[in-house]
Amino acid sequence: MAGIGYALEKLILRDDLLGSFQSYTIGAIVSAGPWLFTIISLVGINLIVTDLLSVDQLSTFRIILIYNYSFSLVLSGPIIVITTRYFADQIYKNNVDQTPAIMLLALGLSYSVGIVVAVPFYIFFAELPVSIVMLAITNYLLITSVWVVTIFVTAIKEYRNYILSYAAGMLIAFFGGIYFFKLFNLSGLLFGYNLGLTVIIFSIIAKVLFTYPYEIQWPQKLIAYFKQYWELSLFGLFISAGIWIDKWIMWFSPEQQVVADVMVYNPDYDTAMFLAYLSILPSLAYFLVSSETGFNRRYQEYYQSIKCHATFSLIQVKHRCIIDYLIVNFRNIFLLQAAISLVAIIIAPHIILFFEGHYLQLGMLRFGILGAFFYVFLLFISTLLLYFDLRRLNLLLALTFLILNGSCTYWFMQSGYAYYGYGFFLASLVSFIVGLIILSNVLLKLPYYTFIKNNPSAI
Amino acid sequence: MRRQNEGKEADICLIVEGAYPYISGGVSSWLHNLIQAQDHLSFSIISLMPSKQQLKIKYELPKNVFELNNIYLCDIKEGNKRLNEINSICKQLEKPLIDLQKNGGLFEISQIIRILSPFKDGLGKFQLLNSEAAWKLLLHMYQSTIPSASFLNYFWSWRSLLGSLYATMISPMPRAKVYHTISTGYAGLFAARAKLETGRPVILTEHGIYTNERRIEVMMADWFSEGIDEQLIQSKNSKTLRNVWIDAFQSYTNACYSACDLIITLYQGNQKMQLRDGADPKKLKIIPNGVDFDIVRKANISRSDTKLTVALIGRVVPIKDVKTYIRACNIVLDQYSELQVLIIGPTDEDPVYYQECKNIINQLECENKIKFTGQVNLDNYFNDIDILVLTSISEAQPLVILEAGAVGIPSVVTDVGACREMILGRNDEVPKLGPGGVVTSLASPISTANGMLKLLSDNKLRKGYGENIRKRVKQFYQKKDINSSYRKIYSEMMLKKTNQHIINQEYQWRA
Repeated sequence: MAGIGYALEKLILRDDLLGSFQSYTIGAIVSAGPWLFTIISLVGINLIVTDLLSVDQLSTFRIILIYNYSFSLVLSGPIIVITTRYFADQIYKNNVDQTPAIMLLALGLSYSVGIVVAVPFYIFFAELPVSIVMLAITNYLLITSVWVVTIFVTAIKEYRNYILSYAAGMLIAFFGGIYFFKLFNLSGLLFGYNLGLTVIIFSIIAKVLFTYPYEIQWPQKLIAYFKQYWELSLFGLFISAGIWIDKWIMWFSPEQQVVADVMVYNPDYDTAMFLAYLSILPSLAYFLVSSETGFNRRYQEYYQSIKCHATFSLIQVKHRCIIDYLIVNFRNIFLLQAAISLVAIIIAPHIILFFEGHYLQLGMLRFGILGAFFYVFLLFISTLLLYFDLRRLNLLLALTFLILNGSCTYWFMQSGYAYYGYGFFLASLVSFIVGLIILSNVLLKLPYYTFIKNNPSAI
Repeated sequence: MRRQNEGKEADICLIVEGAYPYISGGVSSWLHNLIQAQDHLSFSIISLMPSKQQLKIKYELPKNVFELNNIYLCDIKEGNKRLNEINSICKQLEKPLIDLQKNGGLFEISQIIRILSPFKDGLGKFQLLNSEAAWKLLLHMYQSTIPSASFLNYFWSWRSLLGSLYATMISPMPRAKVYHTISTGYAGLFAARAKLETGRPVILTEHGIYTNERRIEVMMADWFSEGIDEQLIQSKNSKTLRNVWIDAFQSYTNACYSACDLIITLYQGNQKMQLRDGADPKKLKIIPNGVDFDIVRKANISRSDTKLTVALIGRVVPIKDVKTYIRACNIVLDQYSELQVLIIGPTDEDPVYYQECKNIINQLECENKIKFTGQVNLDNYFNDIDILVLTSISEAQPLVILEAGAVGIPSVVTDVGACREMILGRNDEVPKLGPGGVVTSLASPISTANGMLKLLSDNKLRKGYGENIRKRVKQFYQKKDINSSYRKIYSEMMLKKTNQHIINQEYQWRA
């Protein structure tokens, strides 16, 4: 008689439960990396090239970079997150043959988006000389490429070389910029800057192609991932839009400035915010390192114990290890960041002086530093949610921040100059609290999430 | 084809797990015949299958079947997402479920029914398997049964065992005068539930012994031992996951046996196992499978006596151990070189095994004497066969012995299933009819060859044995008699009064 022995073995041996784990072990650099890069680049411009340029030239140069960094990060957000997920899944399956093709496809996708958005914008709307238009479009595509190729950096674990690539590239960007500026003015500056970006991109592409010398195999399922992991696609969009939306809104404040007819911005607010983000660099770096090492190991041990048929008490021990580690590290980063932010708030006037701002920016800078303080933890929480593959919760969190940052910024913009930046601070604070509640709830019930809530064959 | 007629009461509700009408085979054909033979009664069928997928009805449902309902053991319904009572439900379920994984029975089932039935409509996978309350229940059960076993395996086992249990417990109960289950297991649980909820009589007919089949299946499955040093655990004399599974099925069987008014099986060997598994001896009954004596006889009026012929009738597959038959025939052919040796049955089911058999025949150099006929009409061959041989290593009650016996062909058969009692007669046979063939050891060409030689060497003995088996078939194994046994059982059971004590849930206090 046909019994019920049917599919039990299949059920028990199936991999769904553990399929998603390890997927995001390379997630940290993708959420923290681009932001790190953006801050350094934008602050660097202020620091290095300000004195050389006339006011008009500086505004044009700066606004092109801000627009390109901002819109390329948001528009390629879904592509970055989905490609990361797909690439991580391939690595997990030990299927690295597709790597060059994944990279090329991801670049192609981001370029298509860029061409649809950036090209018409610069050609038809912005009133800029032809040479600047060409260089601005190139710059957009190059920055997009930086986002995409960074995904592949973590796969080849030679961080030192990469940091060297980025550093060398940035140096070339700034000093090449200055050199060519002297020859060709603004076009030269942009050209030099693009040259630096090109160095970064090609050194990474070369390394990837060298490490994975495989024929191009069309990664068919990558496109399907956008639909299959729609929560991730939207998360990618919302998380990057969330950190830019306050700037976009402030560009329409009474203090807005207009460049090339259509390119609005708010130099006071933007600069204050970029300076504020500078304060979270140490935490970002610390988090990158600690998630790659200590956290990742405990995370792996937890899933390995399940996979290797541990008893539940052992799984509980491993679970406890993750929580303990996170508590200690959150406390460490919290203390470190609190100290840095406090000092930054105190010395804010000096910072403004140093960067040749004006005293009215003081309030914005201080709110910005406070906001950045909570934002950096929001970023950590979101990365951890990526690790645990809690896509819906993460989407919810990113959406919360996007909506709050948008609405609060808009609200406090009405209240006048003294409240500029308060919206961002409030949005970060509230989203951080929401995120903390979500994360602690998930962490405490991690085995329940692993086995049931997040297990496609159980739900 | 799916018929539904809600609210109408059937005479008989048949409960089938993993067979009729979706999977063809011995049990399903038996059921199909049973329904057709009882055409004065109306039937409803509960078919328990793993999942909705790929269900295709293999039998045309007879006209007296007016309802077919499915229970999907692995596809429990989603359920209502807002059911606040789930915490208290899971808390109450804990004790009966833990007991059910040890050595439980009808009492635990009655408790589970009492806890679940008020919420039957809203309950489903969402609360019973995936809620946090269910997760806590899972952890408690794990900790209190096998805390040192692989949690991953326990997790899936728990979901599988309880998912199927819940599916059986919360699906709708059709109204019927008598409930007849064709196995224990989940079908048996449903029957037990029918008893507790309706108070109507419940009958069980076991073809194979379910607990035994599950026990073998569980012992053979090697995924249980993954990542675990089983010997270490066993030496500590603690429970393993295998025990959890076996004990769960044993508990289901206990519940079913306790709920049944009558426990029927095909032959005495099975009955021994039912007794061992705790069935009440007073409820036991044997009703074998039967053959159509008159039709078989008509087809074989003239028997030709030209050339001696032996035949194995069955599929050419390992379980029939055709290789032993071939080797035995090789021994016999030394003395009876003119003997015709046949292997009658489909050869396409296991081509590799078929090829291996042919290779052995080639090695033994008897290609000309041993012949595969493939699948043929048996009636044409019964005229020629003098001895039927079966070398199977496992059988229940092979009908071919009876079909051959009806035309006076004696058999040489291995001692499996009901073969011994068909050939030599049951212990309680009165008057003793004498042997209808020879019973041999398993997988022993010499033993089988000796049996054949015994019958071949003595024409008178062979004819006498043939006559014995013919008489036995006529007396005990006629389909019409067996049909009337069921007819009688059904009509008696239908007249029984509804057991009000059980409906009033007094059962739970009695245990």
